[in-house]
Amino acid sequence: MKKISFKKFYDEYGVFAILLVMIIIFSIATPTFLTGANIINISKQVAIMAILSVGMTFVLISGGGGIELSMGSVVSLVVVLISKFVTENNMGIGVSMLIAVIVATALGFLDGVVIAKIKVPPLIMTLGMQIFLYGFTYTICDGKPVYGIPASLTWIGQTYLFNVIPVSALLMIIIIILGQFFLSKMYVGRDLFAVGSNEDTANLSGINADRIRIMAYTLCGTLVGIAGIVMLGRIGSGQPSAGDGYEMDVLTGCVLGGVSLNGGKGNAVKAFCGILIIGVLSNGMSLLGFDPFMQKMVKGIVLILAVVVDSLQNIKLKKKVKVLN
Amino acid sequence: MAEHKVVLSLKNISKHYPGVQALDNVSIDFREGEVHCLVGENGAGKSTLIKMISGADQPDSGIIEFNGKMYNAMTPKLSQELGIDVVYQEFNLAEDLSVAENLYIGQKIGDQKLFDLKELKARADKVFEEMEVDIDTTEIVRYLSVSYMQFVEIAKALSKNIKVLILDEPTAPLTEDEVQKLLNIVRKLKQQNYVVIYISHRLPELFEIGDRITVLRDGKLITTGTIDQFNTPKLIKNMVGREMSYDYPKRQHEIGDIVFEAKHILSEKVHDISFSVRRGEILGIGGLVGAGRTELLRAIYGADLRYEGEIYLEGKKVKIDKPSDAVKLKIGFITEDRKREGLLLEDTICHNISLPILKKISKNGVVNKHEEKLIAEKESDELNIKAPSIETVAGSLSGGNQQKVVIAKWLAANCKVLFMDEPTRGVDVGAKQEIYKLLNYLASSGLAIVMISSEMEELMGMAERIIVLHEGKMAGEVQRREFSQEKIMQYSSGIM
Repeated sequence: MKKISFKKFYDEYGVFAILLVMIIIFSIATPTFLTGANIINISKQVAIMAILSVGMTFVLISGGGGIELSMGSVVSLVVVLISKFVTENNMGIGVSMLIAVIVATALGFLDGVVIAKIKVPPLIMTLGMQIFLYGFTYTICDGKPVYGIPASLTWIGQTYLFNVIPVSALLMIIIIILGQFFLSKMYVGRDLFAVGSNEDTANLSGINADRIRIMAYTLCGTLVGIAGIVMLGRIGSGQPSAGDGYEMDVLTGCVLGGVSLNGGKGNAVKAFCGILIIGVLSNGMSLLGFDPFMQKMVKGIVLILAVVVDSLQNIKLKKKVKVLN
Repeated sequence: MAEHKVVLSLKNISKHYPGVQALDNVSIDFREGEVHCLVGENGAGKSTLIKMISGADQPDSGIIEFNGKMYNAMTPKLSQELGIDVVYQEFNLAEDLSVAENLYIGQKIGDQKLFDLKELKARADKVFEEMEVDIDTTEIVRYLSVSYMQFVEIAKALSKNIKVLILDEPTAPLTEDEVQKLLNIVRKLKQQNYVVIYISHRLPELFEIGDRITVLRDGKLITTGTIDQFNTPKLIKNMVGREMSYDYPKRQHEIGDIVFEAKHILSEKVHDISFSVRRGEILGIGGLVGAGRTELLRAIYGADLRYEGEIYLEGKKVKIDKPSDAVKLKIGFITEDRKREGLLLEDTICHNISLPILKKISKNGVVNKHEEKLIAEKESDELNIKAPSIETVAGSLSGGNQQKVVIAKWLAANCKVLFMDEPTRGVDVGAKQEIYKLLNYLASSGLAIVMISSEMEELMGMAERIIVLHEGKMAGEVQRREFSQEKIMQYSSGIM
């Protein structure tokens, strides 16, 4: 039998293993965990994060310090924009959603252009965007939530297909599958990996690295827009704080799912598993009666531990190479 | 020159790297108060010699004697303690710190616990005073000119109470005026009884500054003597005279029409260079390291900014502003640093080969994996890449096979013109032969190849014509029937 090193196993299946272990532990610890109702509940809870994680995965793979910190702010903006369009401007639901997604896409495009062409570090660009949009969203709604959303807008967040599958979860699964298809089967997806793992090689091989990066941020923007629609459907009112802090949970999930912060490496399905780990952890701990502060502590520890195990492997690997040389 | 005391002495130093005997039983004495020049072609062993002295690498055999004490090898720490320092071509400065801070980086000034800027500045000023260089030591290094950065490097060495100073190509980045300033500093160091080991490709300045010259070739010491025993022709004769150690495979195919032509290429490092290459021809680009060879190809390829210049492909003027334009026109570029610029090391052979053609083999944006595999298999077989399968990770291959993967990539892209920068760097002797044969095969199948090489014999063995660059300018063109090492070396040194 072929021997697989721990490192390789951890790289390939680590996130699945952690998720599985967690599910087993919670199933034993509380009888309510592994029930149909609870599973549906978890899938609703993670839907928004999971859609965002596909966008974050694109951006992280693009390399050059790629990161998107304005996701939460854009989600809030989308939520408030649609609410205002529909309740105050009497615009159609479809048109409102379309415009909001276009705005989110344009913001992603803007991030991409500034990052790729002017070489502003992604961390700074998207952090600046986050802060600006936070202020902007609160300004356009006077700091007050927008109420009076019609029921037709909330179906995406609150209805079930065949009375079982939440629409939001279905959308999430479709987006993850499309995202992974894009990454592994389409040539632009392959170009994205090439740019992220070695920009010079990619450029000299005729790939326009700047254009690929801009595309990654733009697609991410579109996905953030869609996540915003799901968010509005779920909360049912235009809350300017709807998306606050989401980017950090998404980033945590992606890192748990093995998406490299150095670019060139990542997988939308595994990133989803990372998100699920966070979702399962929150849900399980809530069922067990952990308070939110305890939950935060555990989440932080899980994140650091996952990365520590990975880094330990790399340290050993580096030493080995040295001796060989 | 009177017989000064020998400070540093290398005895029978040998060093072997995979595929090359970098130093072969070399013995040299370095005396106090002398400027000892080291010369030799690219790859003669100068850099390796410096590494042995500075402790950056250890010799396989031989003895290094310093002030009467014998050592089997140096370590960076030991050589520092003994008072040996090297100023490399690549500066090693903290650019955002002041001149004074740079001088004493890592050293403790005084016995105070706190940082004493005044004392630091006073000491730095004193070092520059002794060098007779006028400089504001509070200036941030980033804003200095190249020559002053060079002086700061030297001052940094001097501040450490050294005895032996090694200058590696110190004048390469300097203008004529600045060179004189530098030579003055070197003269001063000589008066102050330092040992200066001076490496330069600029032969005329050696005669201005040197006391003795040692010529290396193929890792062997060819000759050592006082400066008056040499003149430029004699020096060049000693530097070249390399034996042709390989049989270069012969080719007999027809050379066709001009495929590619570059006219008046101008960039930061390249001054008005024009050349053309024909179907089936291998054009060599010679010159010393830093002469602008790589920069020339990069400027043409759109990888670096090109100020001016026209490019013609099969007689038609074409526009190349970025590498993707060149790839579309079927011009490939195999760079010198295949790990950084040629390969996706963590990706498979297959994915590396298909990189430039992903779009072409896609339908509705989806890569046709079957076709991708077929092409990768075909090129991999054609080039005889030795790997378990095309799914093998490129980073795990040997240097020669990695290079073949890069070549395969451009064959898959159906290139008409191929730029190659040091195509045999870091590959072993056997793989070199294979790559030579491969190049001939590619040329005979109609490819036009432009090849940069630092190995003169490789150029002479492979190329139909050689253009030689010197400090960014075209120094000369040599036809195959006129090939001689002296001639190329003379062009390279800018003395013809």
